[in-house]
Amino acid sequence: MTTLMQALEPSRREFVGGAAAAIGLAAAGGAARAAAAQPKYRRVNVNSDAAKSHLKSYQKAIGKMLALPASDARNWYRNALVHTVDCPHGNWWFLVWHRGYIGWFEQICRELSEDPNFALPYWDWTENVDGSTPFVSSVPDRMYDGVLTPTDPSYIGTYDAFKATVGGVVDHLIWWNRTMVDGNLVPDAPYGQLLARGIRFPDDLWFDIADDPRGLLFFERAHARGLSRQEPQLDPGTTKNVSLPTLLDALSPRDFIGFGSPKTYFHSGLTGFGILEGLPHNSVHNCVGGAYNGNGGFMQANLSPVDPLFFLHHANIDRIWDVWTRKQLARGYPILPDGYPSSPGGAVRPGSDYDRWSRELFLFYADAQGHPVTKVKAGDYASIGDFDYDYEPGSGEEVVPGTQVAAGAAVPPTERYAGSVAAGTISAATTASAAIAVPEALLTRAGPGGATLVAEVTVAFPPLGHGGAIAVLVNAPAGGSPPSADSPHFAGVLSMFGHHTAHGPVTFTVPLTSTLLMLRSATLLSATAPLTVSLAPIQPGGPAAGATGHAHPGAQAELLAVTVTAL
Amino acid sequence: MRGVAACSAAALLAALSGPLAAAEGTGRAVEIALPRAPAAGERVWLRLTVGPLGRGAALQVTGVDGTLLGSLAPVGGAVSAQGPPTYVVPLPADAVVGGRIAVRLVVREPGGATRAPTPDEVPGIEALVVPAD
Repeated sequence: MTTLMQALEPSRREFVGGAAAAIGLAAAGGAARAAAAQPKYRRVNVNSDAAKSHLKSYQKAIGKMLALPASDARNWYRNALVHTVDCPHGNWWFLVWHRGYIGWFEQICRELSEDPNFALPYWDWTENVDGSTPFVSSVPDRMYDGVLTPTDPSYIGTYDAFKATVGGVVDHLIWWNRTMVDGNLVPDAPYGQLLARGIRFPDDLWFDIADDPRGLLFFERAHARGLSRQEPQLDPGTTKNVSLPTLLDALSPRDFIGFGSPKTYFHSGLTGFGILEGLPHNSVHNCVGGAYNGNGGFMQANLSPVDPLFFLHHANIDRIWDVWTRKQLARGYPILPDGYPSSPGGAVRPGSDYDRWSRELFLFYADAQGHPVTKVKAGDYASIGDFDYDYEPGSGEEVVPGTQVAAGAAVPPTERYAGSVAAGTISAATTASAAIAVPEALLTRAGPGGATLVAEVTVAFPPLGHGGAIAVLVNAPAGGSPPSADSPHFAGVLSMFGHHTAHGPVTFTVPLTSTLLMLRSATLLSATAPLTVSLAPIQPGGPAAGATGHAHPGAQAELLAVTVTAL
Repeated sequence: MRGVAACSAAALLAALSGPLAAAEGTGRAVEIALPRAPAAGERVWLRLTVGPLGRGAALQVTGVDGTLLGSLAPVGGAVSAQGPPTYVVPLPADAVVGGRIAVRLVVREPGGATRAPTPDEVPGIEALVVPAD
């Protein structure tokens, strides 16, 4: 049985040194890079002359990866399965996870191709290659040569052959090892991650790949790519989504979450899509994957890295992130989620968006030798960092630098009374709280025959950590143990019911009226001061540590929002 | 997103059954009032909540003249356990007339057939005024 320390030791050792370097580069960004030495590698446009040698090396590497035994993590299909089990989509880790994934893949290709200068080309789908009017975007013709298309005979032709080739290895990967400490599953280990995503055992994975009636992930060789060399054009909807006006809009947001995809609280939470992910990214996948013409193809689902075009598509997504980052730096705008270090080596603001974002675990990458990587957190990939590449300029580059414009507009007021979360973390040592400015007239009306008030409290539990209970308190004194249930401050208890596969933010509605009446009669309610709603962990038997139940020691829940509503 | 103003009447379900909506020809016409006029340095986007569409189907957003503004679909027809995700579609400046946006929503099925979306397929749509440059 692996212990917690054994499970985490390699990553912890690396991260101490790696984090500072990564964060420093993130804070300095492209501006510092431009002033420093040129990066060692350059990713070029796949249609350029310079791409020819890279594509030749790419073919060589793919051939070797296809031929490697499935026991080698660099095997072509083993590498693709990392995406199947671990890729975040529809949330704020989309960009950073794929940067790490293709960055390590690039190093594998460099190693196996024996080309020390190899760098992934990018597919600039926005480029009007032939100057046609109206604009037409097509799969690059070069990507139909040899093993650059998954329809090549070197690829596995059928699902049965695929299962026979890799199944015996995948079914016994270290992923499935149950890392336990004191009888509790460690969620920050691969199997804990898989469980939180609903992948309980290998058959769940095989179900997704070949037996899910909603759609399969594996496509036989004849249908491995949806667009043919004879008809490589993207459909009109996808063409619109990759067009320059759409790309310029995608590059226009002033903050990371507006540019990337929305903040979420779970690695695989499909929460929403920014323009870049939702329009060009998704539709290129579906179109090349034959979802729109019925031809089928790997690119349409999560075994998409079987198609070598995947890596050129995502190199372009990563290029566009780099363009946006340089635009932001030129305009003095933020480049990462709120709270990132303002100077190289600076401290991360605890509890900030960056703190949460950067700590997310990426446990499934393999390095150039096929070993698990030692940089296992999102923050390790916040900048290009040790991958040490830049991009040949492509579409969208014109937004760097731009001219300064007026500051953003204010968000209009809502009809309800939203609180301000002053402290979000709920743990053994910390109480979360929010202040809500409720009009005096409404507080006065609260009670029988008057207004009924409730608090809508939104909490994110850590994956697999729903077993505890949380007290909701109103205007409770700071510090000390949480008041008991008969206290006038005690409004209710939050706890989860159900299976651990439930995850993501949950909103509870807590009645406030009787609590407000008790506070008022005890002269503990000011009509003019904001209400303070606080959340403190409790356990059976009384107030104590353990807000996160079965989660590993140190796990935290997070208070996200409190809104007071008059019913 | 920072500094984003959103139209407060956001539910497409209400819009579809209200006086602002009309099903004419292919797809569904929807008209939405902007929360306020965009200022210099701001753009207008639509944020749509999109439910399951079926494998290979896409939701297309067009102007009233049929100009395609965006085509939305999850990769692989994925369904979210956390509820339907949102998508953002940028709009050209001329899409705003008199403080209102008029668009048409069309579901394009595999093979090219088109139809209007159901309320479950597009349970929400908002107009956003977004600081952008």
